[in-house]
Amino acid sequence: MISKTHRTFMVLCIFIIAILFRFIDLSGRPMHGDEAINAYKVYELIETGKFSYQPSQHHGPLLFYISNLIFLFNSFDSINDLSVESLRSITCVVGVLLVFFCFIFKNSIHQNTIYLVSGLMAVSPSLIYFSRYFIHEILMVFFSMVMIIGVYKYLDTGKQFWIIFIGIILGCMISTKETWPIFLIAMVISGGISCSYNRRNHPISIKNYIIIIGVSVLTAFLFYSDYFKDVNNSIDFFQAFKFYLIRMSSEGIHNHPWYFYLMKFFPFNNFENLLYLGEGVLFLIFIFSLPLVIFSENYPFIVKFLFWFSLTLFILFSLIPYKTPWNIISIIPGVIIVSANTINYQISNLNKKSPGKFFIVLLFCLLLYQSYSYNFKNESNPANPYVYSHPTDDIFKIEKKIYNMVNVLKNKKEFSIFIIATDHDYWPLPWYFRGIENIGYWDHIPKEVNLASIVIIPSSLETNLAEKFYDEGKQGIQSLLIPLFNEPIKLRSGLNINGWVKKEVYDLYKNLIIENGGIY
Amino acid sequence: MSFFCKQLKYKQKYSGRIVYYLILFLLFKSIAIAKEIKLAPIKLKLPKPMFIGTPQNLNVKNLQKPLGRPRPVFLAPMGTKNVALGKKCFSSDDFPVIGEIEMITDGDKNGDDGSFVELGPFLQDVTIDLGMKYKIFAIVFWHYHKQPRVYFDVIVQLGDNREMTKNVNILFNNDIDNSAGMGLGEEMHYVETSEGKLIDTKGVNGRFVKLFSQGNTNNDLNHYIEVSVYGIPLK
Repeated sequence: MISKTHRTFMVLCIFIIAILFRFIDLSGRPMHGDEAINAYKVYELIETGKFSYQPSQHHGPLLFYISNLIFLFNSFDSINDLSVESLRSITCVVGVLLVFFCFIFKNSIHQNTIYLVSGLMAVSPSLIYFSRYFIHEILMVFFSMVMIIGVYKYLDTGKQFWIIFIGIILGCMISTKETWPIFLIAMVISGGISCSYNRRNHPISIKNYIIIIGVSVLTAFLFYSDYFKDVNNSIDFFQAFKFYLIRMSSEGIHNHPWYFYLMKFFPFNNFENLLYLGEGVLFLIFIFSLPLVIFSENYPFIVKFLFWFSLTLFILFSLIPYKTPWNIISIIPGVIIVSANTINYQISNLNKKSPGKFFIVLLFCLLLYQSYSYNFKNESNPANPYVYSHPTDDIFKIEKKIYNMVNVLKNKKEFSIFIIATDHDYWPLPWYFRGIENIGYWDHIPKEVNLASIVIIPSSLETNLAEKFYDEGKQGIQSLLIPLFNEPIKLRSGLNINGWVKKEVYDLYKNLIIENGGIY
Repeated sequence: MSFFCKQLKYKQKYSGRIVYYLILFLLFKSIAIAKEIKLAPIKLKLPKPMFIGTPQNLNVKNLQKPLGRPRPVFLAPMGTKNVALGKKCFSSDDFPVIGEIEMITDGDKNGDDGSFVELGPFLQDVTIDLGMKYKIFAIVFWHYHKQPRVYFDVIVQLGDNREMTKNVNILFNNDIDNSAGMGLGEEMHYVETSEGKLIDTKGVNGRFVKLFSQGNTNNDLNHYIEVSVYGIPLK
């Protein structure tokens, strides 16, 4: 047994590690396009007080409502008051809470396992990465775990309160992301398998199932209808099934082979050394826990359930052609609990404990290194298996250059920026340029492009830009376009963009800098 | 009476002048206003950004930078034409998932459904029998251009027999890790576009053109829309 002082010290250490890995340098990684759109949606919600649900994109309203609630307590005047740190802090807090969820199972799981689970969750590279990501996934994983806690508590105590609680949390899952049916199917399948060899004291009756469904529908309706203000929003919710079924079954840009998620654990294609196999080792221990889960009577019921839940989720997500790396974190808490339980089980069977302890230290070191590399060193490097359609660090060069010009030319010249990209693929630039007034976004080259001071455009559209800019510009007054950047700029891997500035604008900018004693 | 007439003439004379000056004043004023309007800065109505879904992830090593403009046309001797049009095709996958092998040389370069053939996963190849030996100046091929994709292990060979054992020339190889087992390739990966991939074959001779690929950035499958071989019959 561990003494109380040791326990407090360990919890404190885990808490500090969890906080440090999640909150340090939150703005170091460029905003992903999805994060930037979510940020804009939060801003729209704060500004208008309304949430408009789009069944085809951008998921449920709960992340936006939670963010809104937090920003309402702060003095918020414009979108400029939103920062990368403040937005990502919201998901980071959820990530920290997730680290300690295992303590709820203290009556079922061995104390050593609980501390091991919390420690591994605190340093899990994937959980850290997507806690520092302002998207819906970590919230979804959190609610799925809270729902499992609700079921666990109801089965343990039989109190009706937990039935209402399960209903509310299911409603929250529905209001977070449209992947909730996958989680629900995995829960039903894993519950069925687990209960087939473990009878419980308080099985959930049909009446309670009806209560759960009723409460969850009411909760989801509350959020989707924008607190009963917009019933059409909640009707749109049903349309989402159509869009997501089409997306799941059709050929698309996010269709990947079945082993896509497996490659996240074993990134041999990305990093050619074994230091990136921390999560892979955990996954292998998880898979090799199968005999223990089936045959061992000492294995706690909740761990058996989490094994089947995570395995079912992993299979379901792998079978669906539409894949994005953030879905992987839905199985991580289960993988960690099962593997920690197996490690602890095997160590307890050893005569000498030191090799087991050495293995745990080694595993922690591997995970710490992997987390550091993924989150602070290669946070936007395409070699990082969790980096997906991510903007490169060049975004900071663009931001610096544009703001520099805006600040220098302020009150000196009419200044407008045209951002052009096929299919509106210019995100996250609107987030970074949110503080600039005279800026417009197009999915084509507009006829008034010759009025722009700066044009930012993908390389593939430059010929058309030259045609429109020079052919349609007025004779004798059309200024020359010159490159804005001295080097090639990548918005994302495979997407090169260029900046073009009118020579007269750039000359003025240059002269003003020289006049003010700056170095050009 | 004459006094009134004088008064009237006087009034007419001066009222005429007043009207004249008034018109002049209005004219100058309107020109000034017009000038002011003309000089006013044009207030642009700039569109707000549109929300989109998660963009495509193209994480490929050794990826070629896009040209940024249409590819220039290539010059070839008089009489050079697509000698693969309508010629017989063979494939390592006899039963394509979608489409027919013959579609590879049917002249249809459209990217839509119904214009491409989908071969199974892993390393697959297609061979075009040109019917006789030709002097080949260029090969252009389209895998799939409905969305930007990168195909892996793209290898193009030209030889005198179908088995590629006689007079074999490797014209293109971007298999950077030798995963196809035909030697390391030095060419770069490229993003599929409607322009297709043009290979300068520098006038080599051959009858059979064989193209390999091993999956793409989206899935493990292999696709071909069209293969065009530009050459002249060997004298």
